[in-house]
Amino acid sequence: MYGWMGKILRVNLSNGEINEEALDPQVARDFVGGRGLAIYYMLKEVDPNCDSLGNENKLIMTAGPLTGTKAPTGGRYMVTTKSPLTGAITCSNSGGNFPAELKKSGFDAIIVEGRAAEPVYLWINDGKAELKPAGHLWGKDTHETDDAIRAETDNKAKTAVIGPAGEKLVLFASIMNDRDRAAGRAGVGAVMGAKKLKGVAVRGTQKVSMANEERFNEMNQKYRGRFKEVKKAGPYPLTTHGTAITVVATQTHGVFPTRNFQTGQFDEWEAIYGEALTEKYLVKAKPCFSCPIACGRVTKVPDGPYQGQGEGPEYETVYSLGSDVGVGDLAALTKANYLCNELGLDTISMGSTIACAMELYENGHLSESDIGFPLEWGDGEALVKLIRQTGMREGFGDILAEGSLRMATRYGHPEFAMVSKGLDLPGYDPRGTQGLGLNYATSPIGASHMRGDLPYCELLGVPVKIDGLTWADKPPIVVKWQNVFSLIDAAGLCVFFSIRYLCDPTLEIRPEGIMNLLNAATGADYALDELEKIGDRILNAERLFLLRAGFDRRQDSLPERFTSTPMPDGPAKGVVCHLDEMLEQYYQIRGWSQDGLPTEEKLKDLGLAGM
Amino acid sequence: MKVHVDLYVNLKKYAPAGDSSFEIELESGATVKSVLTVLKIPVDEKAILLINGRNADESSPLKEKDSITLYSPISGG
Repeated sequence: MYGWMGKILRVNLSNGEINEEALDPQVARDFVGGRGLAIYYMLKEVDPNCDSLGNENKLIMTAGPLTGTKAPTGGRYMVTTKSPLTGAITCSNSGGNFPAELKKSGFDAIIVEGRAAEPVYLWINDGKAELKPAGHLWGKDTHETDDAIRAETDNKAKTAVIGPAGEKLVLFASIMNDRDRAAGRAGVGAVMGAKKLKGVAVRGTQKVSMANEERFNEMNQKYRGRFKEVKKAGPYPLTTHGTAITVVATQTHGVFPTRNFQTGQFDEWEAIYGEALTEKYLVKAKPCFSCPIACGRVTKVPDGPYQGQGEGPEYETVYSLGSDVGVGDLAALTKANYLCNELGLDTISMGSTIACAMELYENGHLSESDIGFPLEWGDGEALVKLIRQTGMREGFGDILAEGSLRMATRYGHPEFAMVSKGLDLPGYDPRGTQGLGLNYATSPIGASHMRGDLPYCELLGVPVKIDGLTWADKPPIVVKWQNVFSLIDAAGLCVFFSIRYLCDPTLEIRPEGIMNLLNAATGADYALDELEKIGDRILNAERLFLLRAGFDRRQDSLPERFTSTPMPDGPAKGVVCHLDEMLEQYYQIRGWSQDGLPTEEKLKDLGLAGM
Repeated sequence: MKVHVDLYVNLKKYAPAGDSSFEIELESGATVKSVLTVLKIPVDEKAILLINGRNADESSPLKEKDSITLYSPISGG
């Protein structure tokens, strides 16, 4: 095969068996890879009603056909499993160098089954895989684990590991690869911890074969050239300041979530946004594999109580550990980010859960004696302390470790949990980004901005700027964007480059560039319509898993704060998210019933009937 | 009439006196285009334009005390 390595590695931790399987060429064609290949295996092999932390659940790591190639941003992979936080399907995407190394080690995917009796890690060295004892690594943070595994195997190996949070089954634990890149969302790290799998290390020197190398290089240059043209005109904001520059857009639109989404503007935003980070703590920009943008931030807080070094914060973290908890101290926020990376915690859910606790405290539903200390908005010291406690499941951290919805329910006020399908919202208030509100509610994994990232057009002006406050025009855009984003995640590319340079510059975002790169790499000769349909297929396959896990239209929802309480101030003042009105049209366009079920016809058309 | 202007990201360089948050005086009937012209912001900058935090375009009319936000497209978040 070209583009694909043609091999799947299946690892059964219960009996220690490791087997290689051939990748079925038809499955590869129909689901591409990454997120697509993963949902194919999840639907086929995992009972949607299984215990997420039990032996029956599987953890699937998948690269795409463009992962590990010279394609711009061809360095992404997906971690897919049933989420312990939400009970829904989850797939979390990450970059860095691990995904490309996985591919070069000879595999398109790793399927991890069962549960080891004692902690182990998986070592894959150019096609040869073995399980190695990890009892001595249990308890170590993600950086220490990365150091130790590379020292034991190969210093050039790339790792994806869990920290104490994953071991202790914190329900929003992440899997950290290359030390500071996160497959963060919905508790993939807790599933790895439940399986007693401390990490995966890969080393590979194989080449991803190209069906038409000349054409691939030509297309690669063409799309990189588009980026270079834009960059020539002036400093590229993502390169210069990282994703935290996005605060400019959210703050000025009044959708920068502040104090658990009570409002959309944060008075201290200029102290924590991208330019402040560049000025105060940036050491250097850091790219993922084959990425010309380099939005990653290597940073250092040189002195003071929050001294430290590491990577981040990026935009979502500036929201979750900054404005959402009222913290305007960039040093505290950055330190909080470092701790999340080291302990292996999703920064979005961590911040959102602490914000929820702060609001419960503000309203007298949580007391100082519950927490052990006061918990006021903006308290950076408390933020850092609670993150440590959560990662170790100590003190009040043991309750935070269950996530915002379980915690808020425990204290009698689930309405303070800012979640959809149990997953905490990213950093955009859906009252001022109506399309994103629909996207949060219908994303198969729960509130994710990366399953059809409407802030691009509603806030950032890519590919064009539209009004975030209107709702009647959004359902067709959301459907198209969700489908194309599924394809990007299947191909092994990064959204940041793909949307702007590999799709046509209209709201249709027809993925012609992705098609050209995929065809040159794989020789599959995909048509544009076929690729768009594959995106639709992936989304619907995920929907099937979700429905079988017991979800229905009722969970295509948002907290009442967004649908019933108008934004109190700022540019979006007086506005609520018109979710119900948008949902009706969304289901129609998707070919789903008004109960949110894909019709038989729709499933047949997508080749999913009988799956 | 007087309007307030905030320039962000790559557009800061068009601030007339260095400060990227400032007021300018315009004739009545002015539009967002008038602001771009006064500040000598070229058309190919493709600025994101907001009036009082709401979506606007070059032809959007301005009134006394409006707050105009201009920034360059950002891809990522």
